[in-house]
Amino acid sequence: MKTQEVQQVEDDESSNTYGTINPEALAKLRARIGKEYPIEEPHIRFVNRDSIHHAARAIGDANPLWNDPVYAKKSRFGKLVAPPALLYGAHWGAWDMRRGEGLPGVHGLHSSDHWTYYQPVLDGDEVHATKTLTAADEMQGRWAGRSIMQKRNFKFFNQKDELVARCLMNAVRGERSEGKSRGKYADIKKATYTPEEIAAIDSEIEAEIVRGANPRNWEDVKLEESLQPLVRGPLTVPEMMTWIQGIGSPHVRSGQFWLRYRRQSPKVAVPDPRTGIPEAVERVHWDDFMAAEIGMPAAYDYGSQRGAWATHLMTNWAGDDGFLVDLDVTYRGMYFLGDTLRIKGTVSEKWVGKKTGIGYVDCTITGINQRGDVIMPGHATVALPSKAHRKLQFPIDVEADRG
Amino acid sequence: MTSEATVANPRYGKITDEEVAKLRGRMFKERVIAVPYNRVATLDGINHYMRGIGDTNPLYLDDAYAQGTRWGGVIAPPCFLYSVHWGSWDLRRGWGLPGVHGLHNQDRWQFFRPIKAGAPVHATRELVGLDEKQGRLAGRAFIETVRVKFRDEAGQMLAMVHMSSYRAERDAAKKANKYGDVKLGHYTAADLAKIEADYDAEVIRGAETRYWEDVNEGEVLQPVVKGPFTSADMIAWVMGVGSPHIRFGRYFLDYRRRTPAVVVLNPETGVPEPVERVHWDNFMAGELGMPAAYDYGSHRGALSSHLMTNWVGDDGWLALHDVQYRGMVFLGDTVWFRGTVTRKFEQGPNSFVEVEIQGVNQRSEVPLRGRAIAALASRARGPVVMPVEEVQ
Repeated sequence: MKTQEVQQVEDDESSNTYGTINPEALAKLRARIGKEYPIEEPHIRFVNRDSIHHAARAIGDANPLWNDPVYAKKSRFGKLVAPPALLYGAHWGAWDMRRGEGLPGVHGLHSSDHWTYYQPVLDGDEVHATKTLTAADEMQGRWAGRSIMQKRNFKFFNQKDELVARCLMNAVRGERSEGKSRGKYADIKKATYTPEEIAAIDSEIEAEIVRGANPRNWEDVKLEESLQPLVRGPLTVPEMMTWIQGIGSPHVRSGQFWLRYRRQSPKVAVPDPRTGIPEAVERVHWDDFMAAEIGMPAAYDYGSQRGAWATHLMTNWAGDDGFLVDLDVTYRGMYFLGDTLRIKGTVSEKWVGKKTGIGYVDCTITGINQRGDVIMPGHATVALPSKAHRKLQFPIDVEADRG
Repeated sequence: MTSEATVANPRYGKITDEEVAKLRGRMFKERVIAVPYNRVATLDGINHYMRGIGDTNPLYLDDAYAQGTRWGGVIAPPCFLYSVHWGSWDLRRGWGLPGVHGLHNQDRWQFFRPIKAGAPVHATRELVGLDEKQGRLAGRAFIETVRVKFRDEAGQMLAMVHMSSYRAERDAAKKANKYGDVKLGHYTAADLAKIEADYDAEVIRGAETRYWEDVNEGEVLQPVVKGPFTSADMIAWVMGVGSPHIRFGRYFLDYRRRTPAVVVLNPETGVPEPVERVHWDNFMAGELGMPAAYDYGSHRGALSSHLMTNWVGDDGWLALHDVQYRGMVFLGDTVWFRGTVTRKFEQGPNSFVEVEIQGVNQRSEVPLRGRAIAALASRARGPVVMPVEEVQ
């Protein structure tokens, strides 16, 4: 049976000791609805060759527009461009993204991201984000216990306070009994690969195509056209680590920072039963032992990684003169260590902006693991150069253009 | 001795005369480190490094604070430079003796000029030492030393490090067996409370100038405790300084193709992974005969420098930091870094203090030994004069 809900432990002051969604905690959370707060402790504030390169490595993206200063100088931007995934470092990797959202001890499951991009972020820019809780609605969870769908609106600004992007991030906060969580994945075994299978995946990596400097003209795009797929994995802990190297981690802290954090948010740490040492429950993302403690066959990815890989699929296809303007993806089921993910895209619609006449292309995105589960369905929209607009002008407001 | 995947395969190759001669032929050729983790000491890069070693010193984190110091703004802490060379992807090229295990056993740092936030750093590497040692067990062994120079945009020397590795042909399992009986860290709530009290007792000298005249030989520095170490600490470290072998997607594919020896197949899954995972993965460490995952030598070096930067204060300057890495620091260990002043001296316009350093773990073993020399402001002679000259 396909899993519908994301069973990830992540975010917030959540931990393995279960908290409850009591009326006071819920009221406290809801009191924040509509209030915009600055994110003050992001992983990335400055966009430069180092942070751009770290973000590109974080998603395994070797696109020269982000990595090669000589190449980028020849582009229309005249300098390195930040991959859209870099913006996760301004909010998701921040140390204070989740602060103040309460319901301590209640799991948070990152369920979807809807990104809208208005203009590129370039070498030399600075970025800062704000967060606004827009809803905390009760819902029927898949498992026993109450759940809250927590919706947040993140806005990303550059140093001129221009809005460069927006992300609507949803998370499911749910109480659940351990017994239910242990049942669902108990039969899944960690994937194994022969050298031939690894070689086959390597060939898929090599087959990746970066459109690059060869413009993809809107007129030339055909409906139902397939995008060159992206393969990820088999997922390993080092790959998890490159993600947080580039984007930051909410809960991985060391020394004085870790002590301070545990005192401020006690539920972020759980003592390891073997050593007594308090460790961040975030380690379900790299530590099989901790994952097993919550009934998972292996450690598993962060939802945000999947969203970032989806941007990679799209930027590969859009080319240097195109621009990803919208990405709406849902994180379903688990992506365990050892799993392989293939992200595919198909052109579903071509249309012209009502206000600007810009040529847009809509795509459906499907992320499928090697067991055949669709773990990331979604959509994306790309603005492409066309006869009417040989060179896209920014900012682009795709929502206004949809009419 | 710490294992750090210098030529990352735990297979034991032979050290032949041909390979040694080949390597000697490469000595004293200075090469650019072209793929550093950090090219610039950005405020973010410094922030990540500080988080990586758990250091909250505002001199390196808070520009508003640092503007009130003699440096005029945030400067990079001394061992930030590990993020330039150690975390690079090309430091270890040309280290030769393929298939022969390398254990990072020493760093001898010298610091000459401050690195202001936003300043680019250019690094070069050069093989400068290949000394044959009598191995403890049969088989050839060498201490291989690489000198890294860090220069600013104008070509002026910012700092230098001599990084040494123990290259030995002996079977790793034989060495590792001596750790079979190690009692890994286990802590009660009371144990943890004691360690937390030591964290709380840490002192950052900060704005209160430490004058050379006020320092006495035999004086004991306020210790700095680190740990109990978990995989998160290792992850925080590579977040701060980069990682030589952790790569993803296309980057990893290219690396595996060029340097097959850097990966081992995970025996559970058949998936190729960098052997560097011995540093956070107990299972993989077990495959090498270790009781648990263990730290990086460079990590130990950086942590020990925190002892000194705390002590010298905003007006002092760490000029020399020379530390040896002995034995293992396993996940679960706690290490206290301690220092004692052993001498005071004047050289050129500056007044210096030498400190003997030790890192002691909860088993009372000493996984780090070394010495540091710091320039301090003098009541008689004035503030530290930059650049600080070389001291021995």
